[in-house]
Amino acid sequence: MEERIQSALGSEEWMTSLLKDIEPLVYRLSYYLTRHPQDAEDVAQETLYKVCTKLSTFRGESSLHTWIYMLVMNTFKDYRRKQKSHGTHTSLTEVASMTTSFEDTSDVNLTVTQLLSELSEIDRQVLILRFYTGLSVKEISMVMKLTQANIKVKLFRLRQRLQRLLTFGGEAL
Amino acid sequence: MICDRTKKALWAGTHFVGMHDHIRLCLTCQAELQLIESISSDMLSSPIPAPTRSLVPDAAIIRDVVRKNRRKSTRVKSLTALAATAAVACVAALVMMMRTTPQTSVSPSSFPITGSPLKTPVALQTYHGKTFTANILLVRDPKRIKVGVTKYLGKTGETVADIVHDANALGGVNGGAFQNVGSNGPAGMPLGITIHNGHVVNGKSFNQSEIGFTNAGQLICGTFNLSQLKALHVTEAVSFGPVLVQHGRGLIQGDGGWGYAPRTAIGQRQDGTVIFIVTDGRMRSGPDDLGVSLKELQDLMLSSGAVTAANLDGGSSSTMVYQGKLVNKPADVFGARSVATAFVISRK
Repeated sequence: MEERIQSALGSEEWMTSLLKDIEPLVYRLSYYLTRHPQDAEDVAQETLYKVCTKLSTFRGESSLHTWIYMLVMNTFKDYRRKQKSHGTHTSLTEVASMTTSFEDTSDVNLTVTQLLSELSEIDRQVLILRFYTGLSVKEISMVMKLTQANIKVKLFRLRQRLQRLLTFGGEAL
Repeated sequence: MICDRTKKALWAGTHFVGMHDHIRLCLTCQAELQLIESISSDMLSSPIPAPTRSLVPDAAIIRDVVRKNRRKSTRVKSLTALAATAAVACVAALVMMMRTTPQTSVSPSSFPITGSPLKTPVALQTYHGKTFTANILLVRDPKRIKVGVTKYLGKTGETVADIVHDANALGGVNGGAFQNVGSNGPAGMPLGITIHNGHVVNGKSFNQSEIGFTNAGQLICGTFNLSQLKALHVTEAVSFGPVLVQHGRGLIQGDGGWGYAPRTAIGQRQDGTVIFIVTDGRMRSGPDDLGVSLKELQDLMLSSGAVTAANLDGGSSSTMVYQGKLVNKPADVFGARSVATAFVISRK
């Protein structure tokens, strides 16, 4: 991977191929975080721009993936802040249309989606980082700037909540 | 209690000694693992709307950034006139490093290497999993690995055994994707970029990962076009995927989404040793013989010490030949299937 980063720094062709390779990854994570296609596109685009311009500052202290996830998270946080100050929130109808697109998926899937929509912003981020990006607690604590113990507690509470949802199905709502 | 500890470790994504042995025996913890895997695979495969536009920055922006990077690296190095072609130099330097010291690692790796160093030039091992049997062929010298192509190129394919025999090789596994040519017979033409001995057999990319070896013996897996492969001095390559392991990290999320099947994979350890894995499946060897998911294949590669690994063509194509014998039981009812390409191990 290192030579790929090195090559990307000095060649347009290599940089483009690296960015194209991570595009789906960045977009999906942005989508889970924003829960809105338009916002996800904006966050993903901004993140890919940052990857492109900041790649020369990547020092290999974490893996490239962790570094990219960190960029997505930071971009997302900035985006949320801007959104709040402009008062442009995602409208309720849009959220509703989004959740219906999950209808044909499996039980666990529906439960996970339910859980995602119910969680607080922070809890949602922990769940996504742990199970979508597959980061370890240590890496999540780096990305989210929270202590490892805190994240472990959050994950364990999520587990109990998910189990309740699975046991009682829709009734828990 | 060990179950509590396991449960916590599973959720936190950590490991402790004896954890896997415990899970193998404990139904409660197996269920817990299954729950976690299903959450993870659901998050990976949930249908989400596709982006309506390309999210990669404009070519002009990329050009600008690359130009700035080059200038910066000239300033930092400011040693030789070589810096003008920083990119080319970087790649060349790395390749040179690999060439002169193939046994030392280029960078410190942050992951444990589990496979013990190979004492013989080639070794064949068998691993018995719960739902599959994996044949693992290890080759110490990566420069012995070549791509074998059907001798009836453009007409029909050959079995791996025939390709190995024609190349006077020690053994081999099936390689990349292929297509039939007219009504000539199966597998006459490789699909995607295919290179043998530095000679381009097929230069047309097919939206798949390229899997190949540089002239220094480094395994390279990823999205590359022909000129990039040439810049890396790749002399042997086929196309398939997905990439399973990159930089010592598993890339498969969930179970990989391709279900269970016979599979073939190629990988490389930090010390250069090449790993071939072929698993059976589709219950050819009994009801416990389902094959592997991409995740299991990735984990097999990681536990064999792979720092780079990719999936090759699988299903009925999965074949391993060693010392003139078929090692696995190919899933096709007619025995080993014809393929267009194979990775073969040349004799020393």
